[in-house]
Amino acid sequence: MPDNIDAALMEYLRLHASFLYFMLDKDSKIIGTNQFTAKIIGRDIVGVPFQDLFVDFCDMGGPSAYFSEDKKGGFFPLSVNTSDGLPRTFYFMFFDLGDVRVAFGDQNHEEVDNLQRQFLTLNSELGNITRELQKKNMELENAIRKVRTLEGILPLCASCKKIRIEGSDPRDQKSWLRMENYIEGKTDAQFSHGVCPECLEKLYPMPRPQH
Amino acid sequence: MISESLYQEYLSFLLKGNKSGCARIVDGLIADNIDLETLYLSLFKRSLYEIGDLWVANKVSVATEHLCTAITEALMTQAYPLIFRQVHTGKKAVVACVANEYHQIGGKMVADVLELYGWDTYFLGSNVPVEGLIATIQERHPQLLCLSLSISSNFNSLDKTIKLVRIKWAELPIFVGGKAFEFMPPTVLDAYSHVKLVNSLPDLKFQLLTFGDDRAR
Repeated sequence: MPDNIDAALMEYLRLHASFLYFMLDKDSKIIGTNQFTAKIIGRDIVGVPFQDLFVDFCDMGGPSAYFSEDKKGGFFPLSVNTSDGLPRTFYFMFFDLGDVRVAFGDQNHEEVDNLQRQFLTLNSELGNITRELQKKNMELENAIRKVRTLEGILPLCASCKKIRIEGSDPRDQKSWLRMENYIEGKTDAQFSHGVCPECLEKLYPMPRPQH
Repeated sequence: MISESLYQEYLSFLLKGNKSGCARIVDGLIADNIDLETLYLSLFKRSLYEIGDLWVANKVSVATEHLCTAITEALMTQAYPLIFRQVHTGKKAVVACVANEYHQIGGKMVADVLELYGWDTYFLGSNVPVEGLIATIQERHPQLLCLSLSISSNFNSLDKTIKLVRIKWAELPIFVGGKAFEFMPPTVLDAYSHVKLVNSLPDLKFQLLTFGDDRAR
């Protein structure tokens, strides 16, 4: 390893690395961070107790618990209050270096990749469902346009069964339409003509061959 | 027609993940009565291909590329009122990406253009298992099957799909297309019967004429 690797690492850590870095005093107050941490937290945190940055830290035994021997080398998911108001979880590792303590927090890249994959799949599925819905909506609208219905009370002549046009003068004979004309004018239905057996008997009362 | 400056503004919004900026531009174009093919080709396809090239040149990350794809797919929904108001001709097409193929936008564009010409389309999306595809053909009785392939390494999936479809439907016309074919010899599909390579949306229009589809003229 070259002699100046520590300086290069420190420069990378302070200025360019995309993980959280905290240097703490023995009381776990923050005495130094890197640029990425400043961007995520969004405020000056030097002198602030380390646990004050977290959503759930205090419920987990306080910061000192993480520097004990049995926690050495472990990763701990802790959620940080961020500048945009949304907590973000980082996986922390803690080091007790004697005079100072150091904590590094990184995202779980596997988790982020998985979220990204799921998000893309869900987005595509949602797009496909929207497409189907839009298609069905249009089909329904077309169907509704085709279906014309009659509704309300129709004024019917008790004798000849003609129907009066809505809002027209009942004394004017032109206001009354034959039923088939009225229905054909108001709907897409059409009429064809035939004679029912009863009427046939009345109209043509002659003997007919039996079939 | 989309001006170069408007395209560059759209691309810039897209690369920054600014969906509302992109949506504003698309809304404006639709309000100006842009036709669907111009919107798809000159805005969506051009920008996605350019972002793909930026990724290949290591200028944007794969995450950015995915985000741009997701935004584009969401923006396509804005064009649906243009597409689905067409009167159907009675012709049916099934459109799908083969198994392991996760890039579905090209296939969706093909399905949308078919709808525009009055076809009834069944778009099955990405990564469609061949069994599911066969079940849909059985159920829908399409006159056309369109298969999309973006990654050339998925060609084996396409090959398997065509062969299995051919067992039951020996003469069902199949259109295949997608970016993968830019990197393959034009003879790659010669071994399959009734299978045509459709290189682009204008080519799709041309091929539809073989179905007597006058609307594509």
